[in-house]
Order: sequence, then C-alpha cells, then structure tokens
Amino acid sequence: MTAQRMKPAVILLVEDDPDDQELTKRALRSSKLLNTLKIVSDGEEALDYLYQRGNYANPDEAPRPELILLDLNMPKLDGRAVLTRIKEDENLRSIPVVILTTSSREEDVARSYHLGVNSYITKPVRMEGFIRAIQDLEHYWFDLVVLPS
Amino acid sequence: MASPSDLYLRIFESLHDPMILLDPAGNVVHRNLAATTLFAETPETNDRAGADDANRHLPTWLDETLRSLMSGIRRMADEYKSVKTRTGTRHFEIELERIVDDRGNLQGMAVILHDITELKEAENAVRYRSEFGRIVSEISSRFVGVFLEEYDAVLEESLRGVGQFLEADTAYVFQFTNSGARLSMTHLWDSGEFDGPMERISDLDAAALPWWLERLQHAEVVALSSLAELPAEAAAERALLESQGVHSLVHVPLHYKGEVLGFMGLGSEVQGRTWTQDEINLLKIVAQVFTNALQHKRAEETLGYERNLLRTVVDNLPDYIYAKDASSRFVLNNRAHTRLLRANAPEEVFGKTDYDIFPRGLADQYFADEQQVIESGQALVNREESVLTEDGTPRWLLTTKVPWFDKEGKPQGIVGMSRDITQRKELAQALESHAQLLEQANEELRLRNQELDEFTYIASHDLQEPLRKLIAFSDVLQEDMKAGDQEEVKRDLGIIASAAQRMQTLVKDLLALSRSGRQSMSWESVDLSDCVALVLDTLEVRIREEGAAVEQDDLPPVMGDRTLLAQLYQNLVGNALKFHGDKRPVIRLTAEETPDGWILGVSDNGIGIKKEYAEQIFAPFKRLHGRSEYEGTGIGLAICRKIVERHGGKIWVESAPGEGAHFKFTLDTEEGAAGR
Repeated sequence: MTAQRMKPAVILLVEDDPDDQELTKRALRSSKLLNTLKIVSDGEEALDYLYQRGNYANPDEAPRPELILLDLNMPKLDGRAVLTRIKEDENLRSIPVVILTTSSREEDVARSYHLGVNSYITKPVRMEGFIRAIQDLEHYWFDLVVLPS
Repeated sequence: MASPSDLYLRIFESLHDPMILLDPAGNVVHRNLAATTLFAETPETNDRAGADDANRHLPTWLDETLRSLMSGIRRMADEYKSVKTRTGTRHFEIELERIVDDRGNLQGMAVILHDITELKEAENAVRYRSEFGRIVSEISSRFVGVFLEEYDAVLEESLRGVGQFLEADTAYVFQFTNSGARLSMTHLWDSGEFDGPMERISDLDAAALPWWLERLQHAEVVALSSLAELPAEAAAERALLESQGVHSLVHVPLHYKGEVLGFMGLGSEVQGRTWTQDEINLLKIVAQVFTNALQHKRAEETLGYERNLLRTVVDNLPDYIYAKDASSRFVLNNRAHTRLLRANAPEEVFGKTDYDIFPRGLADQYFADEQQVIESGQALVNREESVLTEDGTPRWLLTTKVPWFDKEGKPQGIVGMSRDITQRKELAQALESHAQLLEQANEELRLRNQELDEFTYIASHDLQEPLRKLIAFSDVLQEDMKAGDQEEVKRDLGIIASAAQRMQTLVKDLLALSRSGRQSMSWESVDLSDCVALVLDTLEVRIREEGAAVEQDDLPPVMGDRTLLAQLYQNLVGNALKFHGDKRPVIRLTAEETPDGWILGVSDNGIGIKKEYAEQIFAPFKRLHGRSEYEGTGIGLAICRKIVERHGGKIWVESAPGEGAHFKFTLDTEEGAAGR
C-alpha cells in the first residue's frame, strides 16, 4: 500500500475539446495529480495510449493509468466505443473509468453503467461545481478505494 | 167364291195400313178398320157434323194435309206426317191416288197411310246417337290446346251445346271452394227464353244443403222431373231451386280421383220433364270432359302461379341469374342479367350466346367454364371473373354455375348466378392501398421522429458546448482577474470569444440545414456547368490561398433546384479545400454516365476517410476531427445529403485514409422526375 502511495497515480484524460482539457487541468491544479495527468484528444489515441502503440509506443511515455476520465462525444471513435473496448480487454478491464460528459441523457447513463463504467460525472456548467466534483473524485478513488494492483 | 168387288173390299178392310176412299169433294166414302182405329185414337177428330156426318169427315190433321196435297202440284206420295195418338206418336207416309173413269173424269181418291213409325223411331234413335257423339266429340275437342284464359268461355259454350241438344232451359256448373266448405256457380248458360231468374249464385254455405251434399259425396246423379220428388229433408235445396225458377233438373257430379269437385246440371222450367238414361249417360260423359278440363285448368293455374312467383322472385333479385342450354344458349335471364346483356326484354337474348354479346376472349372463357360444368356435372363455385358492361367499363362478378339435369339425370345446361362485387373489390383495394399508404406514412414518421430525436440530442449537445465554455471561462476569468494574471486573462477572453463565435456559426449552420430540408424547391432544367462556375467564383479566394487545382468533366444538364445544387457543390468543394493534408489540393468535378443515369461527384487528393466512418460523416454534427485539427460544425455534409435526397438521389463517399476522397451522388433523371 505504501509503495503504491509512493508511486504517483497516473490519470488518463480522453477529451477532444482543448477548452475542456484546460478546465479539467484547472480543476486538478490544486492536487498533486496534475503532474501525472495524461491527455489524449480522441478515442483512437486513447486506445493507442492504452495499448502503447503508434505515438505512444514508448512505455515510459504511456504509463498504465490508475483512472481514466473519458469524454463520451468525440470525433472518430467515440467514448462509448472506447469504453466497450476497455471492458472487453482482460488487462484493461480493472482500470476504473469515469465518464465525463455534458450528456445527462438517461440512455447514455444507463448504457455506460451497463458497459461497466465505474462512475459518471455530468460536466457541471459552473466551474466551482466542476472543481468540487473532480476533488470528490480524487478523494474517493485515491484516498478511500483500495484499487486492485 | 166372292165377287172381285167383295175380294177388293176384304183386302181393303184387312190392310194393316189405314186406307180411306174419298169422293171428288173430299168426303170420306169409305175407310178401313185401321183407319177407323187411328181416327178414334186421334183426339182432334173433327166431329162438327154429328155422328153420321162424322164418319164422312177426316180428322183435322189429315184433312189439312190432304188439302194442301190436292191443291199443290207436289207428288202425292212421299208426304210424311207425325201424329200424336193416345199410345204415342206415330209416323205415316201419305199416299194419295186419283181414281178416274174411262173418260178421265175424277171419280174419287184413295188415301193410304203407310205406318212408318218403327222405321222413323229407329231413324231418330240413330240421329240422336250421332248427334250425341257429335256433341261429345265437339265438347272434348274444344278443350284441346285451349289457353288458360279461354277455359271458362269454352266451358260455357259447351254448356250451351248440351243444353240445346237436350232442350233444357239452363245448364250450369257448381264447384266447391274453401276445401269443400263453400259452393259457387262458376259457369252458366240459359236458353234466353228461360223465364227463371237464374243467375250466378256464389259462395253458398255447403253445409246448408246437406241432402245435396250427401248425394254428391256418393257421386249420385240427381234427376228430378218435378221438385215434388225432393224428400222432406231437402227443404233448403227445394227453396233454392224454386227461387231459380227450375222445375225439373238433372245433376251429375264432377269427381276426380275420388274427390268431388262440384257438379254440372241441366234445368228446365217445364214441370214433368223426364230425364232418360240416354240423356243422363250423355251428361256423365260431358261431366267427365268438364272434370278433366277443370282439373287441367287448375293445374295450369297452379303451374302459372308457381311460375309467376318464381319469375317474380328471380326477376327482382339484384344478382344476375340466368340459365343456358347445353350449347350455352340463353334460355332464361332475370331482369338484372337482361340489362347486363344490353337487352330491354328477356326475349331479345333468348337463344343467343355470349359470343353474340361479349368480346371473343370473355365469351371463350365463359363457354369453356360452362362446357366443363356440363361435362363434369360439377358446379363452378364462387369464381371471380370480370365482365364488360354496356359502356365498356369492367365489373367484377362472383359467379357460381351449377349443372341443370333432366329427369333422367342428363345434363341440360347450366344455371348461373353472379353477384357484382366491383364495389366490394374496389373498397378492399382502396382499403389495402390506404393501409399501405398509412404504413408508409407511419414508417416515414417513425424515421423522422428518430432523426429528429437524434438531431435534437446532438444539437443540444453541440449548442451546449460553447455555452458551457462561456460560463465556465467566465468563472475562470474572474479567478484569473483576481489573481491578476494578465496572460491568463487574455487567454480566457480568447476562449470566450471563440466559443461565442462557434455558437454563432453553429446557429447559422443549423438554420441552413433546416432550410435545405424545408424551403420550397423549384424544379427546372439546370446547366450544371453554369452552376459550378458560379460556385468556383465564390470560392475563388480560398482556391487561390490553398493553391488548389480544379478540373472538371463535361457536366450534363439536370433537373432540379439551381440554388440547392449550387450549395451542394459549394459544400463538397469547400470540404475538398479544407481536408487537403500536406499536399496541394487537386480537385475534380466528375460526371459519369451509367445505364441508370448520371453519377456526379467531387474528388480530391486529401486526407481521406476510414471506411468505417464513411456513413456517419453524413449525420449532422458528426465530426471526425477534433476542433484543434479542423474547424467546422459537422453540418456541411448533412446539408449535402439533404439536398441530394430532395432531388431523389443518393450520396456516398469512396475513400481510404491518405488517398483522397471521392464524393459521388445521383440526381433523379429528367424522365424519372417528370411524374412529380
């Protein structure tokens, strides 16, 4: 446990929108996680990162994340497809995925949970709320939950 | 030995025939025994001149006859005379001989009365018999081939014949009605000299005439020479006859197979008229003829009634009913079918075939069906067939044809029944096509709803994105301003401005998409070369900036909306200019003629598209690239698809990553669209 604590937790943010990337960064600014935040901007890149191929062939550049923040609506391969691929993969299945989206459509929520998503955060419109949500998330996943190694 | 004179006298006396000798004045000189006996039996003997004189005179009947003989030039012999005597009527042939002397003077006359009574009676009997036979044969032959409506007249005519022959004053027929409860006089003849108030008596209560009824029930002949012969219990009958002025009568029952139909009768106003057995026999024969005739009439009436009833039923059915013989010639048509056959009366089509009425093809079909029914003996049931009416419009019939057999079971033809189901059929067809239309409309509506649902979701998502940024970065801006970080503030403002800009573009594009699907569309011949030239003109600056080369095939004229087609090319060429990658864009406007029409298109040498995205790029707001790579709202291709679809065509893309893209589309051809 202690050893894990020592190792900085890696978070993979899958987000196509540069502004939203900026907002997420800003929400994480206060935490130590910011330094280990990895950002990819679409579903294909996310899979490249997770399988350490293409631009992410160097394992040092693409450490296995402890948490994935995944946007649902993205060009090309969208969040739902990425989620499906992760949950189908024996290796990747254990990585907790938190959906970050503007969509609060019931259908999306239900489908995501069905696909095995661990949490769901609707992007709040106000920055204050978003920061709180990210902080809550950090607290929950990295302080309370014992993650499988 | 007697003198010759004596001998003559003896012969004279013993002659069987009466003989009288007269003087030239006509006085009786001598008469034989036979003459004396005859005169004595003749009541009208003229005895005006006393007993002595009386012997010298002739009876009136003979005196008158002789005088007419003597004064006339007629032959003396061959004169025939009937005379009533106390023992009956006797008939004589009168012979008168003149007796003259040598000088030719009339000395007297000899009259011989040859008694021919027996001969005469035999002759009368023969004449009666022959008259009898004539009457019977006349009466029975009268009823041969008689039409129904003539029966009564013929029967009364026959009554006249019998009545006159038997010298009656009246002749009549009574028949039972109401199953024997009532009696009515149905036929009557009278001599014209008859004084009785004989008239047609109708609707008598049969039970009120019990004696009569009983006689009839026993099939007895009633012959009365006087009403006095009626028994006491026949008081009602007597009163009835008296009221009719009949004093003697004979009634003969009319019975058929044990059933008494009524009776025929002869009446006379003569009291004491006797009815001989010969007469009664004649009446019995006539009664039999009448019975047969009445029976025949009744049967024909029943038949006529039934035929009429059936005819009325068949005629008034709205269905087409007809019968044909074995050669498919019409033998019966009801009113509805007569009209269908374009005739005014059934007689017009009697004996005709379908070949006389319908086109050959139809007639062939009907004929084949009917022959099949006749040969197989199997009915054709509920066949749907078409027929042409008078004005040539087709009707649909549901037809059943059944074979029609004679008593021996040999097929005689067919009986057909057809019902007009045109309306039902049209209704069913209309209903079906309605249902189909409804289903189509429903399906379209469902697709529209789905599309709309998708669109609303995506639209709200995409519209929310810049809005969310505006709000979020306003918060960030406030923080950064508080912190006094000018660089951050500048960046925040840039983000806010670009979000607002995106919002504006998005709203504009949404409007364009909505319009491309809704605005009214013109339908005209469009010269695509002109149309494309205009588009390239508009895009000239961007083409120059990108250093693009634009080539084009010969573009055909098409039918459609000039403005929408221009927008289609503008979006496609615009995309080609945008997604060019590192290479200098080479853009070609293509046109390819295929058997199915023209395939038009825009090809480029740009970054291309992965096969799996080839479909979704046409959905609204679908972008394959992050905003950092390529700007855009993801609506351009959705508009292109809408425009092509409104022109009745299809749009698709053929591409591979890095190998450029070829967007292709079809438009409905001029001919194909002509029906719109």
